[in-house]
Amino acid sequence: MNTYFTVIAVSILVFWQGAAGAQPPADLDGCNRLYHDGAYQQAIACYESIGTSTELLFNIGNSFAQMGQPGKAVLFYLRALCLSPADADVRTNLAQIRREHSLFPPDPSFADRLFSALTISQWSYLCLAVPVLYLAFLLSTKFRKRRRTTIGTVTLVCTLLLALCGAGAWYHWQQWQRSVVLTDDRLLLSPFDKSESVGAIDQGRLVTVHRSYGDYVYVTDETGRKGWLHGKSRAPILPDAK
Amino acid sequence: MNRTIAPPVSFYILLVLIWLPACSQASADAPEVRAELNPQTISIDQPATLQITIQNAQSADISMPEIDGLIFHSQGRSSQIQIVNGAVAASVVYSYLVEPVKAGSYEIPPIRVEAGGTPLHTEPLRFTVTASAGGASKPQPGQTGEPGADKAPAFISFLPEKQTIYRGEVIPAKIKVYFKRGTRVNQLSLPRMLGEGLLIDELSNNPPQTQEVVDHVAYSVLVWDTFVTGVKEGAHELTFELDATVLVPSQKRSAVPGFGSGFFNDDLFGDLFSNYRSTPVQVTSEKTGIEVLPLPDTSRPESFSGAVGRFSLQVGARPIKIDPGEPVTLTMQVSGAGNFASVEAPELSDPGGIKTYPPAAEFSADQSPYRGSKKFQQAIIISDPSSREIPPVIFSYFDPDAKRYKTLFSDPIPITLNPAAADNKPAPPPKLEPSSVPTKSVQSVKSADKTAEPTSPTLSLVPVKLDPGTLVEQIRPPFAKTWFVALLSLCVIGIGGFWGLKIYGAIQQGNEAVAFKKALAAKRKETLFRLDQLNPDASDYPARAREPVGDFLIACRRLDRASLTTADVIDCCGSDSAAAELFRLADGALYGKQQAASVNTRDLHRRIKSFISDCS
Repeated sequence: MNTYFTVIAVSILVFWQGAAGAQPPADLDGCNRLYHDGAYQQAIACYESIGTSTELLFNIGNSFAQMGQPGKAVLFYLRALCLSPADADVRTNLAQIRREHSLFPPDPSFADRLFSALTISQWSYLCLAVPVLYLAFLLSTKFRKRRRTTIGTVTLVCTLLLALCGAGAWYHWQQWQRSVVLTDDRLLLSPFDKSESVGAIDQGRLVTVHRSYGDYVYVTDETGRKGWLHGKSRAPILPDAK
Repeated sequence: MNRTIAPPVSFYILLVLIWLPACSQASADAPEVRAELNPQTISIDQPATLQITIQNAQSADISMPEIDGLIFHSQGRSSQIQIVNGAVAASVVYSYLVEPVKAGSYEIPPIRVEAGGTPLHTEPLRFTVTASAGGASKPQPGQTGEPGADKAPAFISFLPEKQTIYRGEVIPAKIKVYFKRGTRVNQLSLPRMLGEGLLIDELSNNPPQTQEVVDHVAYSVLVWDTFVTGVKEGAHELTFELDATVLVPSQKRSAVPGFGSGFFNDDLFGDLFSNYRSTPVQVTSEKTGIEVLPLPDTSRPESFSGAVGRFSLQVGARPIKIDPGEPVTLTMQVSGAGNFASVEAPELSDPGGIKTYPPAAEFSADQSPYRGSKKFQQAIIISDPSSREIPPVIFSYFDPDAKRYKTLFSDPIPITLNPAAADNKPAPPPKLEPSSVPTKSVQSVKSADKTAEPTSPTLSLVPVKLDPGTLVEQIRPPFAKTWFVALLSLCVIGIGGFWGLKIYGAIQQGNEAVAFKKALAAKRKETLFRLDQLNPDASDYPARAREPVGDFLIACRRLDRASLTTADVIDCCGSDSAAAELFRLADGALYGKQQAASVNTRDLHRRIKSFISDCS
């Protein structure tokens, strides 16, 4: 019996460690010293050498902000928010950098306001909690007789809740799929160097990528303008995204 | 009494009989033909009238000759009958409009006229066609050498203002479609541009129509005034084409009496009452070469945003007396001619200490989309309290006439900061480092290496984190994590399994119920049959009926018994039921108890059968 207990305890510990991730090496202080010395480029390289975490992404965003590169600063703040959507420090600095550079987002729609009420994690966990609770309810009917109308009502409510949570998580996931403009550039009419310009686009603006052609990607910016943007002028919020 | 006697019908018949021979007498005279052309000297835009008079005939067949350079339009005919001193003379006049298409001397050969079976010929007619009264226009550059200009019914001419332009430059151009006069068109597409590297404005569906003479040939001309923009560098050749259905007048025509009118003869679009043949044609212009030059790279101003043309700049600001932090609306108007789509807001020459916001633009066209003024309104905030003026605004463009870039500067606009308000206001925002000012000129500086970095953080940011936090290998949303997917899958499987089992059970239950119902019906039938075999009046009826009724009850009530006792029957059917009574009587008979005289076994038999029939 004790053997079984030990095996289960060790398994849980290993799983927990795996889920939590490995602890970082302790050279963050050196990176922060570079930051405070104004050697932001070296500080960024130092942070990146440690790994990826909300805090490190936040520090990289700060470094770019201090270097006067709001596009990259916005990018790393948004990446930090992907890991910790409710992090108040990240949100504050992101709002600050946007305010400083007049990167005001357009007025939110009803869907924006609805789905922004919760973070992607909260929507996701709600998405998981709903079927778990529903399954528990169904199993309970084996032990305690429920009326058919009760089961039907619970099923309907759970289905609606699941649809809402799924839409919320999907909405945030789509936000993550966007890209950030890294340098002040121009949206072009055609994917060629000497094409006519549709208009200027500031670094730090968010764009949605639709397709690519050569070095260019076809994007829609936050105001709905469409045009071709050089691929090097933008970076996806999720590093693995297109 | 006076009586008026009406002439009899035979009187009128007699009159007709007298008149007809007179007519036939007139017709019997030899017909004569005469042709007249008036005037005998005409200009190319002035038609002449040809009249062919046939004496002593009421109709005739006329074969008009085909003459190069002349078009005959039938104007109809008129008949005349004269009775002079009893002599009847009939004549018919056929009128034609003679439309010359080129100048020169012409001779209309003898025209063959057949009247009353007699072939006749007119005298030949000579006349001269001079050039247009307004003077013959010389062929324009784009028109010379148009293929078959003197024979084809139509051709296109593309006339750009110039043939060497810069990328982004807009030039006016004309597209002219020529149709020979007399050619009638009933379907016409818009000209299409074939070629690349240039953009052309959308063409109007209602182009103006004029008349022109090219190589002494009169044309009706549709003219489109448009604009061409060079978008791709290089030498490009453009052609234009359009589809049309042309009604070409047949030279051999039959006279249509009664509809001769100039109204039908001089309209480009019409085919009424004339003898035309419908011919679909595709009209293509000759190739026109246009070279698009690249904008020079040398001396290109940093503020150049792609504007090509000739522009002027006016700048104003309101209000100019402000409190610290109060926004000022900067109004910048770029006027002139050029590619206004590429004209962007002018920039401040020195944006230091000024915070700018994205400008709003409004374009007012003046007759064409490439001439007018574009007004930009931009909100700015003077963040440096020591500023006393708005620095000059710069706008750069490329002037294709001067072949160089030009930069326009506005005058600085003095502003007044309200000192009283400044005293009451909180401290102005900290002066931003150049690297954080959101303007392009400064942004270009900021991309430098470490030497360009500020020595200390100046933005009011939340400071860097001292704790590295939990490292992750990949940024993934919770729903992309393994444990989340596994748990969700388990739930889905569980829910699916639950409902699957429930549905399966319901189906099974339904099948069993159907099978039971069938078996019970068979058992009921068998039991009733067995009961009918018994004699209800016999003394052993209860004992004999007990077995089939018991078997039926076991099947009906799904009792797990081999046989039933009276107590079992009372339990499942009630003590007052016919089955219970039957079992009690059977027990009495079995144990020697005298059957009561009051027991009516026939009635019991009926009730037992009814019980069996109703039992389910």
